[in-house]
Amino acid sequence: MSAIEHLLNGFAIALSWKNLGLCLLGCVWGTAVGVLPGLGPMAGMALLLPLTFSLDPTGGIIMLAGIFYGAMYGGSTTSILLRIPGEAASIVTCIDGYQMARNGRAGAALSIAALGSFVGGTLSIIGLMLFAPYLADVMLSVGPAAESVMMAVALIIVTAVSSGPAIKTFAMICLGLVAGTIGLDALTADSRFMFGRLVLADGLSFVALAIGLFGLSELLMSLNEGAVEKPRTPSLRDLVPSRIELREAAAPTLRGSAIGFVFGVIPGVSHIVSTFVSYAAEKKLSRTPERFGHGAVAGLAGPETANNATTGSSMIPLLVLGIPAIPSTAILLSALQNHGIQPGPLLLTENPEIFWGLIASMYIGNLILVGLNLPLVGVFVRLLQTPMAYLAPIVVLICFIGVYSVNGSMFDIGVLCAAGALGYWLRKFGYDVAPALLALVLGDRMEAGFRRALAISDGDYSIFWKGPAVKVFLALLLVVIVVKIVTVLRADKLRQALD
Amino acid sequence: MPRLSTRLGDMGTGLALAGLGTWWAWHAAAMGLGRTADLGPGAFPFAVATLLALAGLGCAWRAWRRPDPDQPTVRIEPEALLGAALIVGLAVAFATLGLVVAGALFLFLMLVIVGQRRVLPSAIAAIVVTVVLALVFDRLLGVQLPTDILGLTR
Repeated sequence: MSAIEHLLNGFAIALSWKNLGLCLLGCVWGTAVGVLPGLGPMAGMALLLPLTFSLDPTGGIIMLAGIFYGAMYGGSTTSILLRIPGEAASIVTCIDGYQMARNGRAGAALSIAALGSFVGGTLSIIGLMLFAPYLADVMLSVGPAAESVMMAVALIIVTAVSSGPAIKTFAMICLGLVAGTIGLDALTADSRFMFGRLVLADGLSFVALAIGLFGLSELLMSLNEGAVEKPRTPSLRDLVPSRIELREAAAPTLRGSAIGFVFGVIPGVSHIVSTFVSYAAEKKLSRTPERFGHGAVAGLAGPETANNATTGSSMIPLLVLGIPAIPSTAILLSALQNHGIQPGPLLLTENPEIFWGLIASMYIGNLILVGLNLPLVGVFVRLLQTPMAYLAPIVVLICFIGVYSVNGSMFDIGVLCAAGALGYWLRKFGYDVAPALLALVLGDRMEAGFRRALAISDGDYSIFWKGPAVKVFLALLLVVIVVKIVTVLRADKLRQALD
Repeated sequence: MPRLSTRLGDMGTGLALAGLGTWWAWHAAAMGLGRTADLGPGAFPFAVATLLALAGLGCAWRAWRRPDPDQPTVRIEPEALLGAALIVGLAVAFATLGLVVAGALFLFLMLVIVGQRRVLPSAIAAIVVTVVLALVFDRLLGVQLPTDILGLTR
């Protein structure tokens, strides 16, 4: 069956009433959490993760993916109208997007961001569709040694590119790996750190940990936040950009798509890096760099497009390698694993309906976001008017219901509360808890690959640096570290512009 | 409102992580490390726990060496402390009273104490929201919930 036939099948799956509804629900919920400061895609996905267990795997992943790119989209709305980045990747949008709004072009800025997001998202999905099958073929020939090296490299890259202190990120990765060792040993079935409790045989509940570390801790952090001053929301007529603005946005949109796509494929490199690189590239290429920081269309279109292109291409490492390139995709991985499906090179052959259904739903989701969110921008902005003290208790109750529903276990509720308190404390002291979750998801497979490789080589450690696949991963690590150094140097200049 | 020294909190967190790593590594070693070609169940936990202990010490060392952090103190919001206490209460009540009673009590207290809303509207809102949640999740979605003392959930 050709890719086109697979894609048509995917559309048939994604366009069923149920999956269309789930995609819509994901997009709306994603936009809402993207709009609310603090509640980013991670928390938004974690909160609805338990709901996916009662759905079929394709429907579940379609909904979660909708939340993921919906949140990315929603984050730009508050950045443009209020200079409040709904999530970290929208920080760059604040620079010129907000200035455009101040210059009376809020509607045009929202439209350009929406169109850029749509183009970036769509082009990255085409890239995903074209490259993923070839990468999957290559990955099938990779052995356990290369697999464990690949995961270790992904975690090292996360440490290298983290925005906070590297030592704290590394500590969080180790904490996640340590937590992942609880339960029965996958190879020998020996009990490890179970303390006589059978409930721990499968390890700590990922759902409880994810919701606690992200959802609950975020809610605790935001309880004292009041309502935000109401911005002037643009009318429908204001949403149409001028011809000059569209012309200025065209080339940055295409460049942003390419930059976002490349950075999304590299494990560990987040949206923030791609948006900063895109902004720097646009400023460098511009004939009027002095307009950047004062409402330059290119300074908005490029990063916004890159942000959404990264979202699409970050699905490649997840679906083809089974590695969540960024923490948000770890939630997607967990959702699939809970249905007994392991993303990786075999996903395309064993579960093509999930892969192609997801791709088709992403096309549809991008259309939904443009068609639904521009007219409803006022509704989403009004969400900001609700103090968190009212919203938070309801969300907490939904968290409890969600966590309990997975195993019917009060132990998991205890884990949820403990993870919430831990997440709150760690965040207060500048620890990013996302890498811990990433390590928790990857730990099992990394350990199994490591032990199997050593068994195959009869204890010879050189197996971990022999072979072309391992060398490719190590080269990738080198490239990312170089890019990180360049980005840090550029970010200093951008920070001055933001100030 | 409680404020904590960033430096001391940072150091304490690092030392706590180091302590956890050491304890974990100690127990992992007792599980059997095996030999290189046939690693035991304790080998991987031992390795990652040792790294955690070292990283924790690194964090504590970093905090010790930085006399002037960007923010000298970290504010623990009273709303967060109250919210955390109520969430723990909800966890206890959730198992014994069920979703509707525990949830309504939790929502009511959160609205009145943290949200500083009036008593009567808060009580009505708490009951309505919890009953709606119970109906949606229990009856409509068939989600597993703890037994409710009022018999509203299955």
